Amino acid sequence: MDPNLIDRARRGDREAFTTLVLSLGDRLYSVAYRILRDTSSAEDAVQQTFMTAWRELPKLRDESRLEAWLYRLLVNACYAEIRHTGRWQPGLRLVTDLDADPSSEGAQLSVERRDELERGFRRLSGEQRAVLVMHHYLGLSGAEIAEALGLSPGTVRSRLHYARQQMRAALEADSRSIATGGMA
Amino acid sequence: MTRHINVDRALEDWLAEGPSQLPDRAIDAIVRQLDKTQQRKHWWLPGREQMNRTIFALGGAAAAVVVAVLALGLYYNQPGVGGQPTATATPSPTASPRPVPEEGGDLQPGTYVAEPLQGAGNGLTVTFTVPEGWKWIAGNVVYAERDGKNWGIQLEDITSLNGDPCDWSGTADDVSVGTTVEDLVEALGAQTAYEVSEPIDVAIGGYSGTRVDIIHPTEPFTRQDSAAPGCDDGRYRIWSSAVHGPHPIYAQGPANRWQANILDVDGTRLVVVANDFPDTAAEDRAEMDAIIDSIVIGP
Repeated sequence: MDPNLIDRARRGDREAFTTLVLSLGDRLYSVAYRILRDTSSAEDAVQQTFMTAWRELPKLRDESRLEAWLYRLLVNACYAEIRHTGRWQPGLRLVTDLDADPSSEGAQLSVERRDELERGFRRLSGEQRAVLVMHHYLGLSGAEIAEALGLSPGTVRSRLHYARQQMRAALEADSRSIATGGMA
Repeated sequence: MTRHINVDRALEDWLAEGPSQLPDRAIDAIVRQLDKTQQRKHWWLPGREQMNRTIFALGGAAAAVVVAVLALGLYYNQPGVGGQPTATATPSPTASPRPVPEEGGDLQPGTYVAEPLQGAGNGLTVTFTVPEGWKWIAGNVVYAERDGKNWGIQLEDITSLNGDPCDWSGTADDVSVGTTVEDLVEALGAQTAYEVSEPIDVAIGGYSGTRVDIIHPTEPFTRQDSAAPGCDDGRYRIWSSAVHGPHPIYAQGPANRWQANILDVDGTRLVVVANDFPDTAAEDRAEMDAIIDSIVIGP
């Protein structure tokens, strides 16, 4: 990101800030959607993030930290969305894809597997979802997540560990119920 | 039967799916809001270069400044640091001195003035008003207490942070805090042993600065008091100060909350800490806020 652009935005140049929105909006929206699993809430979170960023930008002293700072604002906005919407909406349950081979782990996810992941993910806390998305979607390391979110590396490791553990448990539980013919 | 599941792979495949383009309507909404929203002006931005010039101009003197002592009665106990106590009865310069009680004794309600930097050759004064029921202790603290818990205000002269506040007696992991407000805010923000909030602007006693809230952890404490059995001397200390070396005030218990107001007093860093707990009663907190609001810092 062009430091001059950030500096101009920091000094109140709305045009420069709009350029930042256009450059970074898609990425932030992608992350917000993956945490919130809802397009409308994700839009709200991104808008909130950019408005907070605009107001607070003068206090950003290191232009190279803009993206990490925005992620922190975004994740906080996502937490607020989750609180506002009373945690998760129930979500639609997909029917089991009878044609899919449940033993295979191909690149193409089966409908059934998507449903399992969706339900497992919705059981996670907002904090767990955020680190999971930043790690598995953005590809950030634990240290990078810690820096972006202002957490200790230990906290990030712990959240990732328990999030993965819960996802595994959720997937395995669903897999057992399907294998025995049930749908929880 | 449980099939083998590669959770990481499944997550990555699944997260790769889904929308990735911010809709135009959201962009339009942001741009519209920009026109109605003012940026917050942060005190250091317009004067950043000027501030740097000031720091350079002060040079070593600024680096050596001993900052921030809530000096009420302190010099009774540390005659080598400064002079006699300078508590007075009213803000009036002609008022008679008010006697300061023994450490731990009740302060008479009224206004007190201190010269916390006297020992560093700085004539800066801190004037504040305390209501009934407040006490003082060495360690730059005025405080009140009830039912085994206390809350209070301290002024600090931070010289370094302890990388591990539990293992504070050594210096190997000490963290530099520089000389400016920004330096200290950044150093605190980088710590992971305790929570530090986002910085916000603050103004106290006619000087501006930055506030961060520090929330101490719960683990080192085994009871609802300041005893931290696994730590050096059974105390949890996040920083060192010029006046008290490695023995400034320590965390007062689990989740102890320190509202650290880091002020730039004409190039001198003064840290006003309001210290309480999440369950401190609102009226007690209000009393403490009133003391902070009463502070006037003079040259």
